[in-house]
Amino acid sequence: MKAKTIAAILFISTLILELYFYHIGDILETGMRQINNINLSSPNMRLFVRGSTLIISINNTDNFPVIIYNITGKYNYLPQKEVIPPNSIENISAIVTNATYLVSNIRSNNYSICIELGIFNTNISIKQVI
Amino acid sequence: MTIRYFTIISLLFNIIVAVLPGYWWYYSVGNIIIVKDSLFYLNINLLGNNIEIIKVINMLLFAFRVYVIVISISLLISTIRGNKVSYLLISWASIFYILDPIIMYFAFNYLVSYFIPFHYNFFIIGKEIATFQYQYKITMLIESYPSIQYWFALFVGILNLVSKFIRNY
Repeated sequence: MKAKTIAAILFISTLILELYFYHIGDILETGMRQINNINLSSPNMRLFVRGSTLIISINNTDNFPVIIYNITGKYNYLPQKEVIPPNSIENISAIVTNATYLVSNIRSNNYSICIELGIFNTNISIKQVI
Repeated sequence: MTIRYFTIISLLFNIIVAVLPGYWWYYSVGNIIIVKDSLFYLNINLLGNNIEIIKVINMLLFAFRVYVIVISISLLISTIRGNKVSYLLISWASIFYILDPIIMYFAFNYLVSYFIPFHYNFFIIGKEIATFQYQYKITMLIESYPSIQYWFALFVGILNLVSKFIRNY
C-alpha cells in the first residue's frame, strides 16, 4: 500500500517535470499545426509532344518522393521507372511508337493513358483520357 | 529464511521490460501510416512524418514507466526481506497485448477509413496486399508484426505469472 502511494506520487511528479521541461504549450501548438497542414495532393501533369517523344512534366507538390512506374497508352510507354523528388518538377520522356496517331488522338481528346505511380509501399494506378 | 530467486529474477526482468525503449507491435498501411506501440510507447508516422501530438501521450506513458519501476523495486525489496509479493501488471499487459491488432483493426477500419477510403482486413500477424477501387485503383501492403521485445515482454509476463503460483521460489 505504501509502495503504491510513493509510486503514484512519483508518477505525478514525473509528469509535471515533463510538462515543464518539454514545453507542453509548444508541443500542442506544433502538433496541431502539423495536423492542419496534412494534405495529400496528386501530382500535376502536363504533356508535350516534341518530334517522336512524348514529354510529361510532373509537378510533385508533396514532401515525399513519387515513383512513376509506367505511363502507358496505345502508342507510348516509359522506358524505365522515374523517381520524382519531393517538391520538384521533373520532365519525363516517354517512347512513342506511332507519333502521327498519338498526335491525332490527343488533338481529338481521345487518347487514354494509364499512370502507375507509387508512394511509400502503395501503388496507385490512374486511368485518364487526354 | 528462503531466498526466492525465481520471484527476484522475474521482478528484475519486470524492471528491464519497463526500461526498454522500443515498441511491441508494428503496423503499416502501405507505409503511409506506420504505428509502433507498446504498453509504454506510441509512435504514429503519417506520410513520412512522426505525429508530434503523440509526444503528449508518451509523456504519460513515460510517467507510467516510472510508476511500474518504483513498484517493482519496492516489491523486490520486500521479497528480498522475506515477504514474497508478485507483480502481475506486465503479465496481464503482455498476454492481453495479443489483442492489440484487434484494436488496430477497429481503429484503421472505422476511424482512419473515415478520412482515407480503404478497407483493412482482419488479421493478427503477417502481411497481405490489399487492393481497392476508389477513384483510382490502389494496391497497398498491409503489415502487422510483434517485435522481439514483445516476445521478451510476454516471456517476462509468464515468468511473473509462474512466480505467483510457486510458493517457495
